[in-house]
Parts: sequence; structure tokens; C-alpha cells
Amino acid sequence: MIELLFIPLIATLFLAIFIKNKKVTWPLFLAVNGYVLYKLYSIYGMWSLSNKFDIGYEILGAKLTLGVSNNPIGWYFAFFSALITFIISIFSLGFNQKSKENVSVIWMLIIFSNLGIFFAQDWVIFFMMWEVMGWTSFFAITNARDKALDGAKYYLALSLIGASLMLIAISLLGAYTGTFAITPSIFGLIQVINSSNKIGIVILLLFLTTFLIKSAAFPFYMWPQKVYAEGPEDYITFMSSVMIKYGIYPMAIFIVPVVGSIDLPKILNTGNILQYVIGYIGAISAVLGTLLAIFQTDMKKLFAYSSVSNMGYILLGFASMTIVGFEGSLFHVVNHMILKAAIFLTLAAVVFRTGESEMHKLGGLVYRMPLTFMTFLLGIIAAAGIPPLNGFGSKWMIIQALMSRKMVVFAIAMIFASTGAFMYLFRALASIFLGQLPDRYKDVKEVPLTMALPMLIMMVLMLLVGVVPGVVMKPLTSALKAVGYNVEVASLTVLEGSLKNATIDLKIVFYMFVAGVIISAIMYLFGNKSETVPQNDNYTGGEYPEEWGVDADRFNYSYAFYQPFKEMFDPLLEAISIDDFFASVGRNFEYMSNEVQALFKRGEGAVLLFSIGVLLLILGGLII
Amino acid sequence: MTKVFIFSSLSLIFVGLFGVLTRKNIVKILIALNIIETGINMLLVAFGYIEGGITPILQSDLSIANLNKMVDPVPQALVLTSIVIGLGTTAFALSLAMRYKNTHNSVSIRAIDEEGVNI
Amino acid sequence: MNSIVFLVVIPLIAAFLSLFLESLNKATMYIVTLFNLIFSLAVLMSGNIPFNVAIGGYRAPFGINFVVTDITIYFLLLVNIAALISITMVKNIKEYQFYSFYFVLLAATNGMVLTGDMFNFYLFTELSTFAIAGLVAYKRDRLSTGAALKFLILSSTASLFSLASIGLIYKTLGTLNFADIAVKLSSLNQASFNLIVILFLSSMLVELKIFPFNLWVVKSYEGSITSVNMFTHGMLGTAGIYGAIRILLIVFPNMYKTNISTVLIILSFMTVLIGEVEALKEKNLVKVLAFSSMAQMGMFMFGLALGSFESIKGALYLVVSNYIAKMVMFIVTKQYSNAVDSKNYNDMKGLGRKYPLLAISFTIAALSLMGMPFFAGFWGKFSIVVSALATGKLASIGISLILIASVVEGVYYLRISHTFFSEKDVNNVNISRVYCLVPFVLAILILAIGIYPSYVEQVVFNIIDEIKNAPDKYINIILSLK
Repeated sequence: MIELLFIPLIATLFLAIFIKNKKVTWPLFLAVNGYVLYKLYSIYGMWSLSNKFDIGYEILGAKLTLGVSNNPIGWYFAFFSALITFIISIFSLGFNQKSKENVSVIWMLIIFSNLGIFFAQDWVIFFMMWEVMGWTSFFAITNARDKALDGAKYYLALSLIGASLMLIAISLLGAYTGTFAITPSIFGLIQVINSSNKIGIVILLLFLTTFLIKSAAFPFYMWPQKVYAEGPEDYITFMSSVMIKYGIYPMAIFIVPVVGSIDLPKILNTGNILQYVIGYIGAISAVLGTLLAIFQTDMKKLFAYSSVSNMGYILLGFASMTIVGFEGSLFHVVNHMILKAAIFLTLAAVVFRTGESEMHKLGGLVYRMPLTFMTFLLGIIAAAGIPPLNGFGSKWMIIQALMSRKMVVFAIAMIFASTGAFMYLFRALASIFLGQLPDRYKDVKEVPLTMALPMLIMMVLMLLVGVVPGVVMKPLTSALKAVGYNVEVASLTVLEGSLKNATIDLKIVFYMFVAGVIISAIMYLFGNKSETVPQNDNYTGGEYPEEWGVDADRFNYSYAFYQPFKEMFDPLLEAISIDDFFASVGRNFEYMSNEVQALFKRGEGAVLLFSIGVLLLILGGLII
Repeated sequence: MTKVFIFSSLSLIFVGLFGVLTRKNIVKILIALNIIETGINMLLVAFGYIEGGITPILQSDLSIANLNKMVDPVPQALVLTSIVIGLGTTAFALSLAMRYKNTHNSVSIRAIDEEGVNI
Repeated sequence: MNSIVFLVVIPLIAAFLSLFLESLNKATMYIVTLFNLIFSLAVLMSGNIPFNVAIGGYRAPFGINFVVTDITIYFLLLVNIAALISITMVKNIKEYQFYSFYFVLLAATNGMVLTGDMFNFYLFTELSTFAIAGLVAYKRDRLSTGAALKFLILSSTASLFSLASIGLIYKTLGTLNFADIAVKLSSLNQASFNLIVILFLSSMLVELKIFPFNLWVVKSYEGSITSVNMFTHGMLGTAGIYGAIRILLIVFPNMYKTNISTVLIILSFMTVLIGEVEALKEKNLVKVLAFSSMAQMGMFMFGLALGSFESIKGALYLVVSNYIAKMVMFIVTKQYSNAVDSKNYNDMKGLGRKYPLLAISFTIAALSLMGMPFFAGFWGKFSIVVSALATGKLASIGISLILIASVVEGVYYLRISHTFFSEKDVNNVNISRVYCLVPFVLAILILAIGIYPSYVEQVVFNIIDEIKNAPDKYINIILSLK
């Protein structure tokens, strides 16, 4: 068990020593990720593995022991994270040949903290790993480049605030339940809340806020777009697909069991207040993420908001507090990991070849990078939740769960967000890969083999999980069973719904789609042949631009794509601009900084302030 | 008699404090500091003073017989030490003030204002 | 163990000798500092602790005494180690004044830690501020002269307050011995007790850099050379911390029953907030460190003012973390700013790539100050947070504000670290690799404490134990003397 944490740590040291030599670092990085994946595979089912360290530190009158242990849900998260990370690290091998900086050292440290979070046995080690993740991400995002500093600072500030809240929550939890261990503290907290102690709710909300910050849910939805736009692309792939799930894991193991079993006033006999709070946060994230994604021009920012919206779905699944919704959420975690990794890998490939991430400056890359295009296409189909690929199953389960609990508003929000997803996904496809190829990208080539291979794997994975969801659902259901949830181990291709007659066999759906594809292929083969039209024919109406005294330009109408929608939703978006609020907080701190500094620059104030201090002390000590 | 001592020493302290807080001239501030110090030294001596007491020196049978009437010698020793310390500080501060005059072309404590603008 | 007096006497003798030694001064400095360090180590090893030395043979309540207990010896070591590390930064200094002042400072800080007498403590404090003022003024330019003068005026005012308080103590209790005061204190009425504590505290808070009393900090840090900064931080600061622990926790423990501790809580979290917020916009690295050390002392004071043993433990961890981390940072700052001839950290771009050990050490120190886990500062922050939340409403608000401030601290420190690592051509810069070693070793120490705090825990436990059982472990040792 412990070697799982130690190997990445030692690898970090080696990577740091060889940091100048790319030929060593990235293969080593890949090898360590492979090892972690293998090791995780081999400890499946051994839920009793654990290690304890006595560090000799006393708190609350008791010796603090730090423990890591193998636990089913943690394993589920860790294994699929490691799988995706491994695939991304193959990609990094090729991707980092050109880059000047080397992010592998810090990245390895993040993988270490990642494993620590998933296998933490008590809140203290969980918190320690959580904090490591915060500051290492800062360095990974900036990756020693100044232009990424603003986004990274924003992220750092948010994650430090989150960690501070969690520290307070952990301290209170320790004081009120008498334990730092995660599983006993769940029961402890339920007791504290059920004995109508307000502090219990405070603890719960503090934890919830921390986790919401990390998972970029509603009030904190700004950091992904700031960070993803500037960070190194391969690391961003990891961040958007794997790291954003770190907030989900503690919610699944802590918040959901607690919220599900406390006595709070119920709304409409369906769920308690907190359940609705989580639900509304999820619904707002889903809708807002979709709306904002529609209006982005930078492709990385677009998919950053798409992540926000997907986190919303997961929260909605949690809010239903049914086992189907819970399973659906956890299933969606893996689905989103796979499809977001696929999409971001293609974006990284595009940036690798063109150096451009503004969508309206791209276009027509389908002829130059067909494999990338295929991966992207499958990725967005999966993201939109269309059946033969993997996004469908989990969304379907979540909507089922919401409907079965009669949470109609949430279901509507989710359906709205899913539909809206078509708009931005298609838009990205059209702007990046379809349309006219700008002249400057005439010589763009397909990516090299090391980068093509992970994309191929991703395509296979998306299709595999889409058609045979059992490869994820089986480990998931057995993990849930091992934790003590009352679930059946899922079969390979059948998804159980929570409404009547809602069981669905994805094999049949797949056959139907195959049939559809065959029919359309036949139509394509025997129908009229397509004709390649010179692009000027499209918009000059047969006239020659030269005769009008203008140059033939290649128009690519993809700027301000959804202007009418934007005008429609602008009042709403302006009303809830959280970003302005956070930015103004930052500005106010800087303003205060200048003001107070002036105090220390003056010469004669010293003794005066000294006397004021004495007066304060006298007032406080004698009079009050 | 003790009351007079204490009263006058307290007023010296407050006069000095007023000087430190309101004067801008460094030399004046140092003088004010010395006034406070004198006040406190007087206060210390007053604490050890006994009405109609005698010097605390054991020299004859008479003085041994009148042990209770001796003034307390400890505050006087403390005062001696603190006078020495005060002397040292004042001398050092004055020499610094001289250099201050050379570097700032002024003896106003406000002259520090201009510093720290550029980094 | 009467020879413990040598710790004060030998540096004082050296201070006089330094007027004549000229070129031998530097060697003398090393010899005397090493002597002090080795001597205090020997005392630690000898196993005689605790013991009490009555100077001149007058026993405790009547004469001046030097006491060596657990707290004393640890702080003695901290002061002398800081002295040794700091003097390695002294280069090319010929003037005897510097050495003379240094020896006085060494004697005074050792004396502050050793003494068991109120007035003696005052004398040593006065002497040390006097020496620091001289050392700050050593650069002889505009900035340092102004800073030294300002510091001198402020600290003289403060020390006059403490002199008044000492007079009051003598008037009301008839004694100046720490232990004796602690015993007799219960007979004192509330108002005079408050007055005494307030007057004494206000002078001590000057050295502890707590907000309305800390206006000297930034200027004197900015105006002086690196080794003097390290003296101020490692020797004067540590001795001041010792004073706070000894006097607040053992001599005046009744303070926690009055409102003064509440005022202290407010002042200390104000200090943290103001220090961190100011550092946010600052570009001068030395000034950033000055602001940050104010904030750290505020955090320490917060832990002390809470008054529970848990929080005092946290405060002690913070002391250790801050002690090592600031030392690392000052050394790194010196090397980098010498290399690029500027103290603005934006000019230090790219140095972290050429000299990664220094930049990594700086980052580790910064993370420790931020209270990140796996670094020494975390344990302190954790203890203080836990006990503050258990204490009450005001403390909870205070700790929340402190945590917000530590977010600000994180932002500016990591921004500086990032700047070190960012891209710039620095081929014409040269730093000797030997100087990278000291900060790196210290940084490794921070990591070691963070990962396995057991040894520090033992030390901290001894200190807490002495505070808990002050009558047995401190007071009786002094008063029940032959």
C-alpha cells in the first residue's frame, strides 16, 4: 500500500534531478504512471490494506496517527484517474518535445497527492494531501511562464481559501465528534446534527464549500476558464479530466451519506433542505456553464465551461439521493474523465500544430488532421450524450433518478443544459475542423505517433464504455456493495433505471445505430455524388471579387457565432457575474495594501502609534 | 513629601511624553525623552522614600538600631543604573542625529517621509 | 555551574577588545560565537538542568540570579545558532564598531534569556536594542540612519514604560525576581496588576512587532545589511519571544483572567492582517520579508494570547518554523539581490533556473510560513486553529481573519517563487555554490520537522511541561535555594 505513495515521491526526486533532460523525464514519468496503474489494478478487492504512521504529534489531547487505507470508492476514483493519467502521459511524450519548460516534476507531485487523497483514512492526511495539490497546481499552471500568472493566482487564492475553510471544518469536526478518521466522523457528524446542534450544519457547509471550490461548481465556476486557457496543454488535459473530480470524491464519501441520513425539514416530501441546496447549485452550474460555454471564442475556455456544466450534472445526481442517481453520478465521473480527456487531447494536438486556440482563427483542419478530427467528433458526440458513446448512460441514469424523486425543476435544468451542449459542441466542431482552411495552416500535418496513439485509445474507450458500460459499472457497483450500499452488481451492457420499465440494454441501442450507419452508408454510396465547390462560389454569388476591386478572402464565419442568444442572455449573465465580485475583492486588497503601507513610510508616527497602542491596552485592560 | 515627589515626577513624565509626541525636531525629541527618564527616576526614588528616613548605610550602632527608618536602597541602585543607560542611549542617539543632519540636511523627523518611494 | 556567566561576560570582554584587535576581529567573532554555542550545548548535554546561579552569592529574591531551565536552554541554543548562521553572512567588514556592537548584542541576548530578574531583563533588553540600532546604522546612508534613529527613539520610549512598570512592581511587591513576583502576585489588587502588565507589555510588544508598536520594523529591515537583518530576526526576535513566554506565561499568568488577553488577541490578528495585506503590493523583497515577519509574530502572539496549552504549543511550532524559514529567506535574498544588484524581486527572474537550490529553499521556507502541510509551519497552524475554535467567538473570528490573511501570504510568496523560476537570460550572474548549501540544509530541516515532528514535539512538550508546572519546575528551584 505504502509503496503506491512512495514511488511517485521518489520519482519526483529523480525527475527534479534530471529536469533539464527531456529524454529521461517523460519516459520516466510514463513508467511511473504505468506502475501506479498496475499497482492499483493489483490491489483491487483487497480492502483491508492499510498503513499507519505515528509522527509523535499530539492534538486535542491524543496522539495523531496518520493512516492510508485501501477503500472501494477511493479505489474506483484512483484507478480510473490513473488510467486516464497513463494515457495522457503517453501523449505528453510526444507533446513535450517542443516545449521549453518541464512540468513533469510538479505533475508527479500532484499524482502523489492525488493518490493520497483517494486513500486517506483520516481527515488530517486528507487535508495535507489536499493542500499539496493546491500549491503544486499553482506551479504546474504557471509552468514558469508569466502570462499564466494571473489565472494561476486566482486558482491559488481560491484553493487556499477552500483549504482554510476545510481546516476550520476539520478542527470543529475533531472537537465535536472526537475523531479525525473519515468513516467514524460520518456517524459522528450525523449524531451532532441530529441532536439539533447548529455547529454540525456549519461543519457540513464548510466542507461542502471547499469541495465545491475544487469541483468548480456554481459560485466558483470562474477558475477553469482562467486556468485552462493558459496552462500547459497536456497538464490541462489532466486537470480538466482528472483533477476536477477531486472535489467529487469527498462529496461521494462524506457529504452524500451525511446529507442522506440527517433529520432536516423536508421540501415537498421529497428531500431535505441541504439536498435542495446541492441540487440548485448543480442545476445553476449546469445551466450557467452551458450558457457561458456557448459564448466563448477560445476553445479551451469553451470546454472549461463545459466542465462546469458537467460538474453540475454530477451534483444533480447526488442531490437526488437515490442509489441510481448516486451510481449515475459516479459513472458520469468516469465518463466525463474519458470524454474530456479525449477532447482536450485533440485541442492540445491542434495547439501543438497551429499554436492557436482562438476558434475563429482556425478552421478546416479536418483535411489536415483527420485522426484528431475523428477523436474530437466522437468526443463531442459523447459529451452531448448521444447513445452509442459513453456520455449517454450516466446522464440517462441521473435524469431517471431526478424524475423518480419528482425533482422536475432539476430534470428540466439538466435537459436544458444537455440540449444547450449541442450548440457549443457543434460550434467548436464547425469552427475548428470544418469551414475554410486559412492559408497559414496549409502545411499543418497530423500529429506524430506518440500523440496519435492515446487518441486512438480514447476513441476505443469512449465506444467501449458507451456500448459495454459494465466495464465501469461492474467495479463501481461492487465497490458500492463493499462499502455497504444495497446494490446489485451491474451486468455488462444493461443499465438499471429507477422508473418502471426503464431498464435499457445498450447493446440493442448500439445495433440500431450500426444499422443506421449502414443505411446512411448505402445512401452515401448509391446517392448522388458530392461535388467540390470552390469556396468563393459560396458567398460571391458567381461574381469575381477581383472585378469589384477586392481580394478574394477566405471567410470563416465563426466569430460571435451565437450573437442573438448572447443578446438574449446578457442581462442574466451580467446579473450573476461572480467574477467581478472576486476581482473586486482582489483589487480592494491591493488598494488597502497601498494605503496601509503609507502608514509605515511616515517617520514621526511611530511613537504616536505606540502611545495609541498603550491607550488601547489601558482601555481594554482597565475600563472594559 | 512623598506625594509631592510622585506628583512632580508624574507631571515630568507627561510633559516629556507631550514633547515626544508633538515635536518634530529630533534634538527636542531626545530632550523630551530625557525629561521622561528623569521623571521615572524620580518616581523610583520616591517609591523607596520614607518620611524622615535616614541614609541606608550601616556605619554605627545608631543606624543598626534605626533599620526601619532607613530609605530603601534598591530603587536608588536601580536609578543609578538607569541613569547610566539613559546617558548611553542619549549620547548614541545624539551622534546618530548628527549623522542624520548630514544625510538628510535637516533635523526634522519628517525628513524620513521622502524615503522608500523608489525601490 | 557558575560558569554560565561566561555566556554574557566573554562577549562583553570581546566587545571591549574589539576596539584594538582590528584585523583579528572577524576571527574573534567566530571564536566567541562558537564558544557561546558550544558552551550552551555543553550545558544542555551536562544533564544538570535545571539549575540556578546566584550572582555574587546573594540568594535569589535578594540578588540577581541566572536560571537555566528547559525553556532557557532551548532558547539559548536558538539565539546562539542564529548568531553563528548570521555571522557567516558577514563579509568585508573592517570597522570595529560593527564587531563591538555585535558582541554587545550577543551578550545582551544571551543575558535576556538567562536572567531571572526583572530589572536585569530590562537592562539587557535596553542593551540589545541599543546594539541593534547601532548595527542598523552601520550602512551610514540616509535610509539606515533614519531607520536607526526611529528605532532608537521608539525603543527608548518603550523601555521607559517598562522602567516605570518595574518601579511599580518594586513598590507594590517589594521584589524584582521573576519567581518571587510570580509567588507574591496573588496578593496584588486588580488595578495595579493591570497597570503593571500593560506598561510592561507595551514595551515588550515593540520587540515582538505587534501592530501599533511595530512601525520601526520595515525601515530598519530595509535600511540594514543582511547579516543585521538576521541578527534582528534570529537573536533579538528570539530573545523577545523568550521574554514573552517567560514573563506572560510564568510571571504574569493571571493576565489570562483579565481583558488584556482579549486586547492582545485583537492586536495580534490585526497585526497579521496588516502585515500580510501590506506585503501584497510590495516589490522590494527585503520589505516583503519584514512585513511577513510582522505577520508571523502576530500569529505567534495570537497563539500565546489564547492561553491554552494547545495554542501555546502551536505558537512554539510557529516560532521554530519562522526562525528557520526567515533565515533561509534572508540568505537567499542576499545572494540573489547581490547577483542582480537590486532588491526588487522582478529583477531576479531566471535566477531560480541557474541556482535552483536557493530558489527551492526559498519556496520551501515560504510554504512553511504559509502553514502548508509537510512543512514545519503546518503543525503550528493546525494547533492554533484547533484551540482558537475551541476558545470562543472572538478567537474564532480572529482565526478566520488570520486564515484569510494567510491566503494573501500564499499569493505573494508563491508569486515571488514563480518569478525566480521564470525565464530570463542570466548568464552573466555568478553566485558561489557554497552559499547555496546553508539555506538548503535549513530547508531540509523544515521538511524534516514537517514530515516527522516527533523531536520538536519532545522539545515543545518539555517547554509546555515547564509552563504547566511552573511552581515546581521554575519557581521553587529559584526560591528554595540554599
